[in-house]
Amino acid sequence: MSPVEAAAPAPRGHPAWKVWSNPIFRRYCRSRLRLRHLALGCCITFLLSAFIVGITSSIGVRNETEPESAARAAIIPLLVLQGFVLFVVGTAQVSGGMITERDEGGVDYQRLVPMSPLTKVLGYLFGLPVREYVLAGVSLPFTAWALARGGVPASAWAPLYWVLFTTTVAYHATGLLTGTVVRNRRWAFLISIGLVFSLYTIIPQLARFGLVFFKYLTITPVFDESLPDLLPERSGAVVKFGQRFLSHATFFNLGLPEALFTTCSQAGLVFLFLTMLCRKWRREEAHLLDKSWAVGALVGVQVLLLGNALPLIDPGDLFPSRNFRFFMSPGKDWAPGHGEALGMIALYGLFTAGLICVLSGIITPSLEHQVRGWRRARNLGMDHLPALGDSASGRWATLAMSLLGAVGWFIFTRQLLESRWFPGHHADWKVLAGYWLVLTVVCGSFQALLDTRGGRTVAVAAIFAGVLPLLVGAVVAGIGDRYLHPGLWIAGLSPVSLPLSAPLALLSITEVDQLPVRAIQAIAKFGWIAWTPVCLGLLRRQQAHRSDLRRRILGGGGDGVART
Amino acid sequence: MSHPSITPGPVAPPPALEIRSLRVDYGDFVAVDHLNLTVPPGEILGIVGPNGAGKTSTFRVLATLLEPTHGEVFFGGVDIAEDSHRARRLMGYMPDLAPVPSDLRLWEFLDFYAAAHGITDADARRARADECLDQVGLLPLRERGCRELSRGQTQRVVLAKTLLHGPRLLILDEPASGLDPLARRELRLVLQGLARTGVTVLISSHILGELAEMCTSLCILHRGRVLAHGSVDAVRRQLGHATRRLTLGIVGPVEAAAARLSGRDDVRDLTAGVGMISFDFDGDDEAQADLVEALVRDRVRVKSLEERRSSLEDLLVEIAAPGRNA
Repeated sequence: MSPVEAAAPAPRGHPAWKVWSNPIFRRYCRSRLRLRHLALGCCITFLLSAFIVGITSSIGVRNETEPESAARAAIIPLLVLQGFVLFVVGTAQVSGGMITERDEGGVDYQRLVPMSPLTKVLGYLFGLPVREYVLAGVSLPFTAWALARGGVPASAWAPLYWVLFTTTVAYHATGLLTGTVVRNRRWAFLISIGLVFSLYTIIPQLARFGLVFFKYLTITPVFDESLPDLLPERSGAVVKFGQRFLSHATFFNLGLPEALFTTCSQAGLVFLFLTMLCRKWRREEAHLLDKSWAVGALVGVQVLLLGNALPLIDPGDLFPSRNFRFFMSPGKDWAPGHGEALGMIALYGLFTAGLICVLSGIITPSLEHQVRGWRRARNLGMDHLPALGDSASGRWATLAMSLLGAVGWFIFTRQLLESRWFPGHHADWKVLAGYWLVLTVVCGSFQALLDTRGGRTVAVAAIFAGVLPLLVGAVVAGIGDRYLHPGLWIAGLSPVSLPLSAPLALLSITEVDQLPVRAIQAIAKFGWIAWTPVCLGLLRRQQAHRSDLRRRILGGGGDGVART
Repeated sequence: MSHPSITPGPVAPPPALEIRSLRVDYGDFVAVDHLNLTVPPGEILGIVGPNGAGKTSTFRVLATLLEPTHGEVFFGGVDIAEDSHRARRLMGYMPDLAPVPSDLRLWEFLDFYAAAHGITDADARRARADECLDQVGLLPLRERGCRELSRGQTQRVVLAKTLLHGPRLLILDEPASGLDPLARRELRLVLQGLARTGVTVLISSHILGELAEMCTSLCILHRGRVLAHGSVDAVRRQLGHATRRLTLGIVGPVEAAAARLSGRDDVRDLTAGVGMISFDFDGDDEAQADLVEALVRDRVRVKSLEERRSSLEDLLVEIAAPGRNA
């Protein structure tokens, strides 16, 4: 110990799991639970809860329903109230509170205190929305009365309220991440709300089109399962009958309870967010994920998607048309069409390509990061960057993710094609190779452009080369049947269309009356031919850019930048 | 077989702060360029420089809030990059325009950070918070809300927070901004008191008169580089501003005195008027005393001496002037 250090007191660490003694949590308990601020919110919640119970009871008396059914009628409105307080108000509070904390300089202060990043993250995660937890708690006695009076079994409400809590934590973790990462106050709030809204309302809709896993990020599956016991007796019986046709969590046919699988799925998402937040607390300039974590995240998502989707193929529950014909059992009068299978395959590919681009965006260093990395390497006497370091190129990780994504897509496609629904069809290794090329071209170009020219150029390219042809093509094709082919060809100029059109060129299920199949196949082939050289050119340019930077900084001893 | 005993000689303690070849880049902009600095314990070092000189970037690197492009920083021999946790225990950082949370009272604010610094006992936290509030003269306001404080009071609360864990190195970015003269004087006394106990203080300010009074040494930064470092006089000399303008009031004829002075190498630009002589003098305080003594010995009847030197503000203005290269 140095003489200077001797005077400093040795700190006692705060274990991350002891949330109740976490100084950040206690700080927010102190400031957000002041009686004069809390009283009004508690009064409103109490009155609303009392009103819900009162009005459902009075309607019950009026309709002469049984007391159990009358009491049960209050449960779902109370759940909606609790959901609003915890999900909407709580998430906005976490995101906004974190932004305020950053604006007020609290984040800088917090970086300097001797607590682990996880302790700090958990302190904010549970501290910022502590008032909302208390407000939701105010309505719990009414819920408890309704559950007890309605004779709802614990097997129905316990999993539901457990998943309400895990979903709340997942929502709040999302708000905390956006509040921490996005620098602009206004954007942070909008992105937070947008992300929460899409992650828990729009993206779960993909479950209807083959990406079943996403519904487990919400409270919906457990709510659906518990619903018959929460409703008045007659309505509950009807829902229970309908539920016989619902598919359950079939993760690789392990037969897990819905609540357990939902908990595991949300825990995975929260774990990923906490990892990102801890990296940011450890080092402000750090990427949200490092390269190996990004590859791991892609593999994890692929496993979850496949695990949930594959067992549903054989019974036919995966197909949208089956979902929409809810009460019809699969038989002679129903079979999935080529069109919907192709649509699901295309959607899977498009989602995978999008996810790879997002992960590549996270792990690709900015020019400033690259220059810093090379200078640090020079300072340490190294002639290369650490392969998994933030300043290293994300190219190899992107190419690896393209391969792994293509493998995931191929497993999905092969299982679908070789199922009992499409006899005589087959997907061989050429299909895998072809789709790997598609993902490599799209995601590799994106990453190379981002690495070499930065986010602004990528945004411009995405608008003018990615989105604009699709919009113009749609407008042209919409004019009339005569213009359908020109419209498709214009849309085909966009690399975004490649993951969508490629399955039609690669696979044998082509009996789709509504689509000009030959034209789309030709467009896909044109896309391969046109975009592959572009991708190679961008990758070469990326290599040259990195070599040039390396030479300038390591070779000549220069700084790699203009001096002030 | 006995080995000859080796008696270790006295080992010099490591400097409180050592910066080696520090560089900070923001894209193409070089904010701090190969900064080298050594500060012994107990020193109050003022970092001076125009806007954009690299003061705040340097301070943020020292506070472990900004990763430098390269370079090394040691607090009492502890490498802050290798062991940032130990470094943070040794250091207290107060940022420019230091904020306080609007939803806490003064004692709650300090209690929170005392807990975060590992003081788990509530009584010990309260005692430490009160001690620090007393040190900055805010103990009577301990129950007041942070949002009710004036700018100057806010600065002092943050200083109290910075002192909570007993840091051995204080890094204060513009701590005197917003303070009234009385509060500035109190701040100066607090810092000088801490320095006497061996605490090293790094302080940046634009109120250069305050700095000159408060600091034991100065470091002039410009465009990320050190232009001068040392005592106030040493800094003037390094910047070529050691010259002072002396005006002597003389009883009787001035010609003889003018003749004697014009023969000296350290006297320039001499002008003589009725009962007074004015000239630039290149020597230091000792040489100036010798000069006056010599004149008196030569029977020149000196009745007054006025000394004018360019102020630190003048130096800073000249440094910041366009066209000046570091």
